[in-house]
Amino acid sequence: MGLVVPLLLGLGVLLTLSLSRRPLRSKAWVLLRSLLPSWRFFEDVEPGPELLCRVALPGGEYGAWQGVLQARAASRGLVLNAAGNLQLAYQSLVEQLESELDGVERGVAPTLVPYRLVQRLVEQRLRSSGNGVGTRYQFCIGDAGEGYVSEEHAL
Amino acid sequence: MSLSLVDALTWCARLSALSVALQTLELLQIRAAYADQGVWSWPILKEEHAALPLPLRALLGALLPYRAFLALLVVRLPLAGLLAMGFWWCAPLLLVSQLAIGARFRGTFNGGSDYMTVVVLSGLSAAAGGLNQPLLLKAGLAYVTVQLVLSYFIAGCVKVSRSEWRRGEALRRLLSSNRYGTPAWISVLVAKPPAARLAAGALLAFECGFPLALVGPRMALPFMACGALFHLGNAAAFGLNRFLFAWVAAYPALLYFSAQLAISSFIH
Repeated sequence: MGLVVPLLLGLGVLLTLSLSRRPLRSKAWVLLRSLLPSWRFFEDVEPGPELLCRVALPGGEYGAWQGVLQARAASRGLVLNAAGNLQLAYQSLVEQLESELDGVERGVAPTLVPYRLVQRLVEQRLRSSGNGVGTRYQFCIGDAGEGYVSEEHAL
Repeated sequence: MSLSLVDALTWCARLSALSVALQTLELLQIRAAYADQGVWSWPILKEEHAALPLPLRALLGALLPYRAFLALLVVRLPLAGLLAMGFWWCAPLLLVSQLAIGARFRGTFNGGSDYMTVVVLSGLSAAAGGLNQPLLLKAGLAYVTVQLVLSYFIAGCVKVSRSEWRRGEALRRLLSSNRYGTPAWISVLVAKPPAARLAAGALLAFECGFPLALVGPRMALPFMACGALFHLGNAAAFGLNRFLFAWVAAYPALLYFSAQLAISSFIH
């Protein structure tokens, strides 16, 4: 026991250094990735992919693309910031979907877990904006109409 | 100023308990987002667990359904209180719960702050496994210290290798983008290129120079003060409030090891 724990912790440091260059890809490691931290903060300052959606009433044409994740209000808690951190988690989810769509056939995309989670996010926002049953919608990740455009769905 | 080994562990535990409690309260406030009808719906998430090793799948299947997850969060509050009071056995339980939270959000909920919280809880868990063994106590604190120093140093190195960061352009763009909803008064501070260059230079010098904090407590204290201000600034500019508490929880470990290594004492 005496040396095992220090050796394990040393291994953790070595893996952190190694993963700062090449992240692990296996599903189990992705789920538990907070065990092996990545410290490459703000390496890329490009704004993340934008999540947009457009809606069409039953029998109607689609309207313009609109942002789903609105910028948060300037006021925020320094101690507790639940709403702000939730917005950041939504943005991470969109980035996960963008990453997992890479190299995936179009027909397979709607079966991806992050696709379905983002779909729920879009539907939640549409319902809270007063859209009713039967409203058709698509969402887009990236520039309006130029990034990945989802299948057509209905509330 | 220096801390004894036990004092350093005690303060890491207290500050980590505060960090864990605040994170937990936030997660409880947004519980609708991970309810079965919410965005991170467990019936959908569990589908991608099919390929996991059976023991891990069983553990996550027990901890992550909505009601079980809610119970896990509620239990974290008294556990954090007990850890702050010196009940070290709570550290490994909180570590497992922290990993479960990450898994519930497909890896992490809040990125870096989850990483550092796991680091500190890992160090405390190692220490909890050998309260009568100074080697284990030191190994736990050493792990926290090395990861803390790496967190700044690696972040600094990846930035300094990019010309847009050295020119201040990256900082200006980061603060003026919509990504984090940065308040306008902060964006204005670095709107002019010379101001952006100066601020970015100070940031890169702080992050890349952070290993110098190990030279001794006289170096560690100013670095820790700058670090706390840096995280306070990030909380104001980007809403990254969790980072402040997660990182400050690791500072007592740095203070302890800076005194132990005390390269400056050799010099003198």
